[in-house]
Amino acid sequence: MLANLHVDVRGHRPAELAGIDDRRIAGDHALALQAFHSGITTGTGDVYALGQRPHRQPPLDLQLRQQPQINVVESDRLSSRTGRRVSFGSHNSRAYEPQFVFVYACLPTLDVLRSHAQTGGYSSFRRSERLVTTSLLPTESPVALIDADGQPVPDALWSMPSDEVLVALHRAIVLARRFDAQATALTKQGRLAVYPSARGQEASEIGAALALRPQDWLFPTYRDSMAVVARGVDPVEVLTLLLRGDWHCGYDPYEHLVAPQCTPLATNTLHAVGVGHAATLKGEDTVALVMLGDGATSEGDTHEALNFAGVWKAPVVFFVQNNGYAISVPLAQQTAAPSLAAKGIGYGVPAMLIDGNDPAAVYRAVSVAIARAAAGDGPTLIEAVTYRIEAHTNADDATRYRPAEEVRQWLARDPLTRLTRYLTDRGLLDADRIAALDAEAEAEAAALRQRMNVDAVLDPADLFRYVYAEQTPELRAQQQELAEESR
Amino acid sequence: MTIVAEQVVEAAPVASAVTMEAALNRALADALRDDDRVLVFGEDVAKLGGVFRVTDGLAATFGPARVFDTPLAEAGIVGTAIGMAMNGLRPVIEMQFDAFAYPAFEQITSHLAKLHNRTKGKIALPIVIRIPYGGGIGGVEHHCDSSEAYYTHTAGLRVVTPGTAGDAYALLRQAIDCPDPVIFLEPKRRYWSKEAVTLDHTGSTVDGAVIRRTGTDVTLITYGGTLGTALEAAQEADRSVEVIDLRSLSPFDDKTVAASVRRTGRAVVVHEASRFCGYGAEVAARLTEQCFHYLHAPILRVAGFDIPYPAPNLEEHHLPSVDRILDTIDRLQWEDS
Ligand SMILES: Cc1ncc(C[n+]2csc(CCOP(=O)(O)OP(=O)(O)O)c2C)c(N)n1
Ligand SMILES: [Mg+2]
Repeated sequence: MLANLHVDVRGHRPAELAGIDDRRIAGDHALALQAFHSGITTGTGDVYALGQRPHRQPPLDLQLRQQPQINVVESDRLSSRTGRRVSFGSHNSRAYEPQFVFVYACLPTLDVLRSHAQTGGYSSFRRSERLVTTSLLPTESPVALIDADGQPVPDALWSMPSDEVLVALHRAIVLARRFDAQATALTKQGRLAVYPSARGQEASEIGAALALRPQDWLFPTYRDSMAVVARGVDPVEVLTLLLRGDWHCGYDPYEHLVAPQCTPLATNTLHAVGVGHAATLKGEDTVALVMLGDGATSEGDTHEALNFAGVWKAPVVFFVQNNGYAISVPLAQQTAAPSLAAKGIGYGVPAMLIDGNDPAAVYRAVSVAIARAAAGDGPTLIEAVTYRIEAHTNADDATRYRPAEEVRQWLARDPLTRLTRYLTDRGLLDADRIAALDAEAEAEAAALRQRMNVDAVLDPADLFRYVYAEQTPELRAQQQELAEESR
Repeated sequence: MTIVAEQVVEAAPVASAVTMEAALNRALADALRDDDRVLVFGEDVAKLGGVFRVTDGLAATFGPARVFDTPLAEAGIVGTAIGMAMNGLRPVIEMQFDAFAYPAFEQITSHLAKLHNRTKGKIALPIVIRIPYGGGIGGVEHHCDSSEAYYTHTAGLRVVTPGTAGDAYALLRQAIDCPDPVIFLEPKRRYWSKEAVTLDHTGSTVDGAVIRRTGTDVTLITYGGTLGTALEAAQEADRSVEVIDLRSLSPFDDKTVAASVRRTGRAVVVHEASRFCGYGAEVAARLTEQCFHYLHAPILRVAGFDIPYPAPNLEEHHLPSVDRILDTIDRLQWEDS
């Protein structure tokens, strides 16, 4: 992030700067970070006098919306503690500059903080030095390794996954897309009550699922059937129970370490933190990855989970699939944050912003996050930018809230097309192999269709069996009541 | 926990007089000692020992990996406890006050109560949520709610509340051992009530109701904070009053309670929670269903009014009093009056 800093003093070094007491920096720094985190620019005047609390806010219409330019402002003042020159990064609006400036990044203060930490100077309001490291911030634009045209991105932030991994990702994506299409078709035939499609999000679903190690937990939502199947759960167990309506969850969560697909938004983020923290307490090498949508990031549980995970340094990966909409509500109405990934820094959780339609980037990012968690370095927040091609579920009409042109634009960024092109260009895939894969996907879909056509035998007595570990007399009586009724 | 019908509590061999608060503290300490999967966490439970000191000294004895303070977020506490239980631990968590458990309501009703059923028993959640509840201690708003009916109305939860120090110990130990999630309601105003008792949970199970005082004319059915008031009223009454302490609000011990009501033919339910749709409504309804032909009078309720919990200087008007209980007993259509 530091590399992105545009150093520009431009002469408006505020008078106040000369007289600041560097002991005040950290406090204001934290406030400024909070402001940055919520997408609100605070303050008027050239720059905050760093000894003041920047709690005045400009009128709403003056709040920054565009990606601001970042300046580094240096002062002539030498720190009384470190003897170094005190310098400040500032977050600066082009439009309102120089009126609206707030101090936001201040690497040299790390030294100041360190020296103060040693003397106990900041202990009351500075929990750790981590907050001031800009390494917590995501990149400004999504990281991709393979671009929309299937070309490797030059000078990409991370290395490309191995050929084996890319080929495995490709196969799993082909199978997942066919599975998803089959599930949608089954809703039209009345064999499934409801299905939330993840078409278009395959790179995120599969990239994340395949990056998990066998001992890691997956906490999926209703939308993540593809990831659940990729993790090894029988697709019929996924579809018949939750989505056909035979029971709420059809698989044994402990068999593949996949939690039940979660419907109350964001509530599973806390469960993932609990599983991860329990692993830490028990000395297990287990990481929990929780999936959530852009809309779910607005829920209070997401905030609490990120906060708990940050405090506990829990081995958790928060994997946000930003598909642009929460049913009909677009992201712009969900948050004023510069990005969803930008929220991480407010919790001391490092974040990554990635191209969620690039399977290579997703796989690499999740692998890095898992390795970091497994090494004891705590949680990571990943925002994968992607798009839901189908409606929210088969019961939704997406034409009411988004233009067809938008969908067309995203179809041009298709994850499978770009991976196919990349692998074909490198000789890792050819027409025969593609045909064989398609045939395999077709056979799986046919088997799924057939198995889904067999009606399950449901036993109403099950309604009373699992409420408690041991059936209560009351439930025994009610089970009896129902049995007599249906005799 | 299995329900054992109708037991009359014998005076336990006297050890020393303990408060309910101390009994709860001992139960936690003993559970932490006996099972290293047990964890205690919540707001201010470690260094401070909880705002009511129920967890006093536990952090020092068992260390920060077993007993720890969490960030201030109730949904977070319950939600992470669910994850920990999924991963083999047995969290005993504290909500600081009744009304401050409400932020956790979604986690409790949508997941804690349902995950076992949702997964056909694959996921068990042996979690205890300790909640100091009820008024009578001069607490300000949001610190005195009787929230039991929210939990008893939720299938999948067990809800228990001790009325005595001895029961507090035994019930909490059993709740921690229970494979189901248990809402453990601690009546604040009885925290400091003393009882000479040996702390033991290995004998008879106590999640059924218990007859605290035998009588022949009328059955008073109560629990938690109003147990003391009910016993006092029974003492004062000029009729022979039986007093039942429910202890387990869900499941309900029909056997013990119905047998008593059939014997006496009259019943009054006493609780400080509001009357409308309160817990007593269920008690009266099921006893009517089960004992109608034995009843000489409608089952009556003595409950808090249907108002938000009053400010401290007015709470005495709201809480069921001895007089109100005695007046209600008088209204039970006695032939001799
Ligand atoms: C707590 C809660 N509130 C509302 C809903 C209803 N609901 C289901 S999905 C959804 C939109 C979620 O959007 P997002 O988090 O972006 O995920 P996506 O569906 O796009 O994958 C809503 C509002 C819910 N399931 N849970
Ligand atoms: Mg969305």
